[in-house]
Amino acid sequence: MSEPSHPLPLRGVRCGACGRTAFPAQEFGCEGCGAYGAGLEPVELTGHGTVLALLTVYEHPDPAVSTPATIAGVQLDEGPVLRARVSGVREAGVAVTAAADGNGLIFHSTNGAGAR
Amino acid sequence: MTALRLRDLRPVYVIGVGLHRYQRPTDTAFVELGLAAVRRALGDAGLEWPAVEVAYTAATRLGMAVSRPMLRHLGATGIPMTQVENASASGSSAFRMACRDVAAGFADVALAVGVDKAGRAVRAEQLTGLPVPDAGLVIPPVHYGLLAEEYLRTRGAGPEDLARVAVKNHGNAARNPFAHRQKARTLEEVLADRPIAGMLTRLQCCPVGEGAAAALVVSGDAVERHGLDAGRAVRVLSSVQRSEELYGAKSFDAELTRTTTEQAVAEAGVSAADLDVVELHDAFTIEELQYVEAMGLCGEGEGPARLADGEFGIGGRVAVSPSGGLLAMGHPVGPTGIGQIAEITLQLRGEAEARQQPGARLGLAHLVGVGAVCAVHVLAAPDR
Repeated sequence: MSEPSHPLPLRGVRCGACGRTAFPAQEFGCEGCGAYGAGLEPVELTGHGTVLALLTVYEHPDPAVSTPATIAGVQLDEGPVLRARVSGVREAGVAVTAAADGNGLIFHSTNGAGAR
Repeated sequence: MTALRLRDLRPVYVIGVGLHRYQRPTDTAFVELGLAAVRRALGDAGLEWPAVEVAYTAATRLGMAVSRPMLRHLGATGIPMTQVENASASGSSAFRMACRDVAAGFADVALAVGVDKAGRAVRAEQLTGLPVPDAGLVIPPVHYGLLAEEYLRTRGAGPEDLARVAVKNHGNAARNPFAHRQKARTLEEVLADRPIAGMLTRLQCCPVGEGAAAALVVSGDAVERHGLDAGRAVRVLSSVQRSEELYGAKSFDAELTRTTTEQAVAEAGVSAADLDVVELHDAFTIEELQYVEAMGLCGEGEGPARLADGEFGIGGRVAVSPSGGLLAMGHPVGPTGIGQIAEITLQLRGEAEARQQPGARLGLAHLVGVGAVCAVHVLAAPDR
């Protein structure tokens, strides 16, 4: 689970055979159709997405993970869904943009703190 | 070519079940846990160990080669032994292998046993080398907590709708001597308990401890040859296992449950509305609401209202997790899927005592393994 030191820009792959865009980048093979290697084209994702759900994590068994923390399910504009920390967002449906801090990837509200 | 269904082969029956209580971690060796369950299952069936022709052992945190260090103490009969690992669904998959062996005629008497101790499990998904951008935060209660937020928001439901699942299942487990948690809880207690992730409080998350469960599966020939009680033989009507597909932004746990259950119910020749008892993967309260809807036990979005009306309680239209489920009977992982079979077997024989669902004739067992796999079995009462 090594976090890349520079999570931005978000790197994914686009399948040359079926057109599916996936995150994160990998050459193992496309989940949609099985194309692999050179069949998967590396793409930079915009980092724009929409919050599907978010919550506060109160407890975590790993003492190295600091809590409380806010995590969200985010659907990127290109389609992939991922889970990452969010800041300044209070409800689902909000547009967010990928950023980075000392702990890696974090999404912020696209239209400023607390935006709808 | 159409794939064979279990029912296209010869009939398969559960003839004996046994459990070691699910409990907090102790110093008890896994050998003792497992043997207790197997000996109870043999006693329940009226079978002696030398009659068992093949064994499948479900375990997730005991390392390699769990079967023989345990089963040799029943007598070294030389039978084939195979360990089965499928995360939460390990026991379900071991049971499925036993059923398929008997149905196909490879064996007349097969054992599925699940045994586990608390301990750290290595998940292969963490060894893929692919980056996970969640800062290590997404553990199971967080995954399901996010699904809970989305479910409640889109259905217009509230935290008390989630908590009612825990109240029901803790209440059922209070009547189950093999349950990890045996204390009934009020709605207020569940809601006011320590928060873990989002709306999920501690009492809405399953305890993962230790325990064991065993089931003996036999053919009709074995029932006759060994003089077993056909009146206590529960028929396995279908066995279906599937893995995750691509569902976009939908809950993969629910979608995988939907397709697997649809197939299992169809292969059994029944409909979801006919089910009297259901044991499902309620590791977190939100799962029961998602799955009763995905399985077709009620309409989409109707889960909270039907639950509040008592339809899923013992004595209701369909008893869901009468054992107490993963939430309160507990989730020792390796044994869990076989423990479900044990509960449904007792229910369909009319032997579930204080937890008996009146007139139970048709039961369904469901588990998902880290979302990636789903196993569903449909079982029928001896007189059905």
